[in-house]
Amino acid sequence: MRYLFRSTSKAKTLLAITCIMIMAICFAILSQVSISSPFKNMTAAAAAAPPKNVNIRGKERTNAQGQTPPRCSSCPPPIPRSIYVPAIELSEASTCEIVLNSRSANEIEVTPTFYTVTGEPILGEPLRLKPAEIRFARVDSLIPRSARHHHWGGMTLSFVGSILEVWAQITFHGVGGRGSIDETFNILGDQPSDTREAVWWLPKKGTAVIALGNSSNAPIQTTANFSDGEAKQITIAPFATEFIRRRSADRPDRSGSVDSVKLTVTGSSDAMRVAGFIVGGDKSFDSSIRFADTKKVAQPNLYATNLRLQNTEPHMVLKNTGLADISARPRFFSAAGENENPVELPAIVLRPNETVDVNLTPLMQAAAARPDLNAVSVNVVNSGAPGSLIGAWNGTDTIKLLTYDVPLRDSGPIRNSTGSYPWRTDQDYTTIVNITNVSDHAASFVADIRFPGGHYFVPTLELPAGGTARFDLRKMISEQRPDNQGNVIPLSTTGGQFHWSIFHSPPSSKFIGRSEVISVSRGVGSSYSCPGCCPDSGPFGTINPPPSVFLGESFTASTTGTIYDGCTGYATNVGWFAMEEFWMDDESIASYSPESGSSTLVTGLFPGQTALHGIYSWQSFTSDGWSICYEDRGQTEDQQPVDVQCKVPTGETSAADVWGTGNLATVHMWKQTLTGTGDFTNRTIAEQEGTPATISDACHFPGSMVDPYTVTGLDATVTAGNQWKPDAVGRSTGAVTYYRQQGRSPCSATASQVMFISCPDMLHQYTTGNLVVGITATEVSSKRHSASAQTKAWP
Amino acid sequence: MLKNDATANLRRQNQLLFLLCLATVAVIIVTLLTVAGSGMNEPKTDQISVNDPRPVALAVETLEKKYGWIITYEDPPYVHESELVDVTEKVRRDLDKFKPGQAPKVLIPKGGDLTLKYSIDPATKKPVDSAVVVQQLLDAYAIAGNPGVFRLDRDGERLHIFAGAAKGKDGVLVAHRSVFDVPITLPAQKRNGLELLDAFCSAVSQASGTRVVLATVPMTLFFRYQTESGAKEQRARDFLTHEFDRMNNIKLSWRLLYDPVSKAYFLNIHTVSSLP
Repeated sequence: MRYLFRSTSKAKTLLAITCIMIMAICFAILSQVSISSPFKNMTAAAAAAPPKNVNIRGKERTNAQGQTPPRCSSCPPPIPRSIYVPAIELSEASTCEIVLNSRSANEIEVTPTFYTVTGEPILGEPLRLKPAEIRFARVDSLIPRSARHHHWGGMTLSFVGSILEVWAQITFHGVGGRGSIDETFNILGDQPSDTREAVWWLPKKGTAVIALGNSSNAPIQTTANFSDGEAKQITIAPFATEFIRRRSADRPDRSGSVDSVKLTVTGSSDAMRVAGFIVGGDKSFDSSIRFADTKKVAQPNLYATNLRLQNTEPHMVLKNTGLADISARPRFFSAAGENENPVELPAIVLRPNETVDVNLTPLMQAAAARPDLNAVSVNVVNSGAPGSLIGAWNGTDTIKLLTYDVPLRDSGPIRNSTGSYPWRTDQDYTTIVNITNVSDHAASFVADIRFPGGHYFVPTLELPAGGTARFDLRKMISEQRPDNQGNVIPLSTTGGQFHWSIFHSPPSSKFIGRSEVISVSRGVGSSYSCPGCCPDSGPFGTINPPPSVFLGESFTASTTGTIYDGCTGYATNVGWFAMEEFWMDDESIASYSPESGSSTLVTGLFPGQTALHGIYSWQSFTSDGWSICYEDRGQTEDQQPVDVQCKVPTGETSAADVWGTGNLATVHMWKQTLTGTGDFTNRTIAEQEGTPATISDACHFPGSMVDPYTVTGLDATVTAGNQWKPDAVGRSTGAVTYYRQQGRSPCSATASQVMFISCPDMLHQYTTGNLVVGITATEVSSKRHSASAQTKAWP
Repeated sequence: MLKNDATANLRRQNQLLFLLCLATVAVIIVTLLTVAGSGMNEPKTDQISVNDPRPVALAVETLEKKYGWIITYEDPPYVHESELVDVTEKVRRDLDKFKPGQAPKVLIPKGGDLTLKYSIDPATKKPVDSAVVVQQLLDAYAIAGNPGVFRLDRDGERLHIFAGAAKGKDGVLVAHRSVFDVPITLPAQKRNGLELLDAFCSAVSQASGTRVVLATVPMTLFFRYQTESGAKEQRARDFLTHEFDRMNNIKLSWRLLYDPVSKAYFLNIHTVSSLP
């Protein structure tokens, strides 16, 4: 090369021209290769392929297949949390019971800390709660044995998790000798205002007990202003509890009186937590006093559900906590809500700070004539500002001598449209759960009844405005009616967790819910209405992978979905869920009906593969870690392959039929019965040589005038009973004679036979076997597959 | 200064030439790789090679299986001893029952080798025209000096091979009219396929003066086939062809083989796979 570049310019020019010519030739070859490229042909063939009967919808799906929005991706991580009650000991009660309620998807550790009435903390042993576990325990059993001699104030439960992942409630038993009173926990750190207010009905000779707890390590001061004008300044030491007791005014003309209090905190408003109790009285009236944070109320009206009227003396008391007159208008609904003639009481005008014991006579008169009003829900429409009206509802069962203490309160944030309540049916306990739609329009919810070892799902239930759904757990267990997944609550089950959530409802929908756990023998009438963190998210799921479907047959393509607690990730299998639209890629292979719903019937039309699609809507709630839930809605598409197959027999049996005649006198006609399920009538049977052909013909020789024995093809039709015939197995008389004349007998031939049955698309193999034909000097024989050989003397 | 410019120009020229050479080498390599990877070097011919007592029959049977063509075959009458081979000793299993040399003779065509290389379409990997290939096959057979002179006739998609001339007993090649060229008459009546074939063989035997025996046949297929066909002075081959065409899209072909001992033709009917 070095010499080349030192050569003359003429030589260089020649070299350059040669290079250019070589390249030109190469380009020419390349262009020819390109034209005749098989890949180019393939592309052209694909482009020219006739369009299949493909169903292409105009709608563009924005969500990728099977995509599930991340659950609670924006939720804050688990953090240390504490819930607190100011009182675990009442001198009026004999025992104190706690119910621990886990909403966690995982086992969670909870550490109790008990405070003496003077504020000395005593650390308890950590407890481990399983997912959705409900655990009842005597509070004193959780206190270290060495410290049980103290007088107790409040307690905290500490855990690491999301808000409301663990909840609890206290029940004092033996109040006034036999009754019970509930006390709900408080979420520490939820930034309450400095004001709490309560109103209550106090029976004659009864006592109202107010427990003021300090959950902080610094002293706080609280001012209590009662309705009779009495005011008290209370200083509460760190972690201590102060009790205020107020006896009822002893007025012979009245069975009871209305009292109220306004508490104002000086110092940390988060530290002051309050609970109230009503004990004693002529009728052993035992109830809690429910305090409202009137500066943190979402809207002005009050709601309550499952107010018992039958055999009950109810009391509804109201108070105007505002600075202006308000009008309160109670409306009572049966389970049918607005649809069934609600009972509306006259509007009540309340001046500032005025309390009223509402006259329920019109309601009781209506209830006496209408069985649907045995238990009602109420909506007290308030003309004032949010928080300007507070109330309380109590009912005393005149037969069971139980007091039903019902929260009458604001509908609250969206999370109040959920709940996870304890339920129990052991001993004589009964549990009734009521869910009421407090919206002015129809709305829906789902429920999941959890118990050790299983769950029972209640699919979406729509309630009219004001409507109520009632779940009697004892009755549901006894009925043993399977849910949409075939589950029942076993008869041996005695308790668990009742979870419910607003679900796929219009914006601004609201529900309230409450569980009432009653034991007449133990004098228990507990109410649980604790909300969840956020409503459930979902559904997220799939069309269940379908099995192969046979031509002309159908299967139901169902769905399986899951909903999740938006905060803890607790997953609930909801069984089926609704697809807003189904569609099939190739409707010539399979049809489907209906076009939407929880399932669709897929029918095989033509052998082949296609895909069934479905699109569904979901909603997702994520928490800010405290009281706000962010809602998101979207759609997800799912698809599953559909494989339509032609049903073929599993095999066949052969039976001897007859020998042929004429040229076929040496041929046996076999009769076959197809095996397997299904009707193959009118289908065509065909045969083919085995591959590779495994013919062994000892009669044949090179140059023979008779071709080797082989499977020559047949064309039979299946008749009733899945039978077909004949399969002629043997040699013609001419062939038999020829081989005998050539001195070839005795000899035989074997051919492999592959059997096919027709389908619309093609022939499908269903069995194989050997055909054996024999010739001796005097006889011929025929054998088909596993059937016994047939022999005949011929001629 | 001028010398420096000239040196620079020379260097630039050399660099350009070097780059041109490099590009040429690259283009050659690309071309070779492309050609090697494309279909250009795929064979455009195929070959068939047989050795059999009836090489034409075996070759067309091979073509039928390979391409799904229907090619019927009819033997010439092998009568001259130069075209026959005695295979009695090899074939008969009952020689012990006869005195040496007394056993009935088993004679078959002498046969031989037949090889043909033929063109195929690279795209379909099949010959473009079946008749061209078969004619080339017959030409190759004839050039090799094999017995008989075969002719090719085309009837739609079906090709018929039959003898146009054959050696007589005296060894002289004489024109031959195939037994399937004779006109036959068959009364039209309801028959199944086998009965029809039976009647057909009898009619051909009668019309040609040469016995035609039904040897092999897709029995169930013909047993189930119902027909009312008949023929009036119709060429036997045409009658059979038309009847086959009526049988439910099943491709049927035949081999009509001559037995020099019994001086009869044996009709072997077979199906041709449509798979190719």
